[in-house]
Amino acid sequence: MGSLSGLDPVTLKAGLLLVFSAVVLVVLLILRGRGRRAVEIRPLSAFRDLQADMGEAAESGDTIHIALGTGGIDGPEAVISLAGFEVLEAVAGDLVSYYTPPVVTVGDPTLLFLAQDVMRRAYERRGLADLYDPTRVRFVAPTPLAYAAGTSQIVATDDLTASVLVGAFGSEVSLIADAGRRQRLPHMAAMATADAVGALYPVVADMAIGEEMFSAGAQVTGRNRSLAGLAAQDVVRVVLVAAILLSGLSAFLRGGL
Amino acid sequence: MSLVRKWVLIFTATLTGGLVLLGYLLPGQRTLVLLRSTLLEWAVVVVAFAFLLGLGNILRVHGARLVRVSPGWVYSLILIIAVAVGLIVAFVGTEASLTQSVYTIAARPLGASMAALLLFTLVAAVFRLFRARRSFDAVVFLIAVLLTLVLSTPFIGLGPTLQGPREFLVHVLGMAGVRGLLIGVALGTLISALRVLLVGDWPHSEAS
Repeated sequence: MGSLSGLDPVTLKAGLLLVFSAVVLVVLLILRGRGRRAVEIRPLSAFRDLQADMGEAAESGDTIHIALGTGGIDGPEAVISLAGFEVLEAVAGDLVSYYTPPVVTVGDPTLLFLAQDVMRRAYERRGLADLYDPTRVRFVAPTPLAYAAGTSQIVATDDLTASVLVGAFGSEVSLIADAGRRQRLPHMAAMATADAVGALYPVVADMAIGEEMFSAGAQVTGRNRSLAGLAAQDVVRVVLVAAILLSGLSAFLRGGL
Repeated sequence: MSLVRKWVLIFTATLTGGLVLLGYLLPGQRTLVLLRSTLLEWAVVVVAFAFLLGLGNILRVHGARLVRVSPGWVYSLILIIAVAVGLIVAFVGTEASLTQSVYTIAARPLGASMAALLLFTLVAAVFRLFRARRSFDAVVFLIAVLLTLVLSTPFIGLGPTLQGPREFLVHVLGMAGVRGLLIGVALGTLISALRVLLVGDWPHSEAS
């Protein structure tokens, strides 16, 4: 991970100001949202279909596959992986109740234990701790292409009703989606990189793109804390867009554009 | 989980995350920078052990498939043999001829094959898109892909003429989209990280 010491003082101060403003906003919105619904959010079709996929899994006795990607929790992709965990946590409980626990694949060993922990707690909460099977969470491979190859094999051979792709991926995610397409599986995807978005766009009709993936927690759980985070994200985004437009306009007026 | 344990977990994680964040934001503070480096070194050690346990998970999952003779058990057998060879290679060192042979004969060609397959899958998906989805977005996507491919082709004598439109398509329109995506992801990352640090909202932890 790099250091910020190479940045010029103005950029560093702007960054500090942004972080500080975001801290204040998140705290204020969380306090305001306590005990009542913080904000109304725009429902994303990518997450809405997840409930239908779970219902189908319950009826058929098969299950869904959740791919959390190759980002670990020790690097810059940690928060992207956490967005994947929010989806996993939201669906794990219901799927365990239906006796159709999901098959979870990870491409980083640090995700393996966290995903196993989410599944174990889902079993414990429903009083089914004895049925917990840690091998439903699978560490496939630590490199993107090998992970995609191994996960494609799982998608092709396991009895699944849907495939959910949420986490840090690159263009190799196309291999997993293609394996699912051959099995006629519906896909739900949330991607944060241009490579992955471009690779999945032809295959997956409903996809959460970029910052939309960080709304996963709010979309699928509706928790106030997640909703407050989403509201703070929207406010900071508007401020940032205004700052970019103003700096562009200022450069234009000074003849520097 | 007891309330004390829950708050100890929240306090530890928030303190650690806060110190690492401050170490990045205040590079002039030597103590914070040193603390940040030490904490990250500890994280690297934890990750190294996680890899060992990840290996155990691979052997457990594929060993079970092999024992039960589940569909695709042959692939599991090949994987376990590959893991064994990989372990031997790790012990003999990267300079040994065995290691070089394994990389030259198996790892590199397999990696290259997967990359080639990926390219084929991507192109096939784009050409299937128009049959599956005839929306305005799909048409724009298809036109952009075709234009980029055609403009990237080295037509004899037309190279300099095509360079301008290609540059505009890739480096202006394409880059604008990528930057927009990156700004959105950076914002989402910042807010999600602050939510975790400030309120102990951990989807992965018993403290949530």
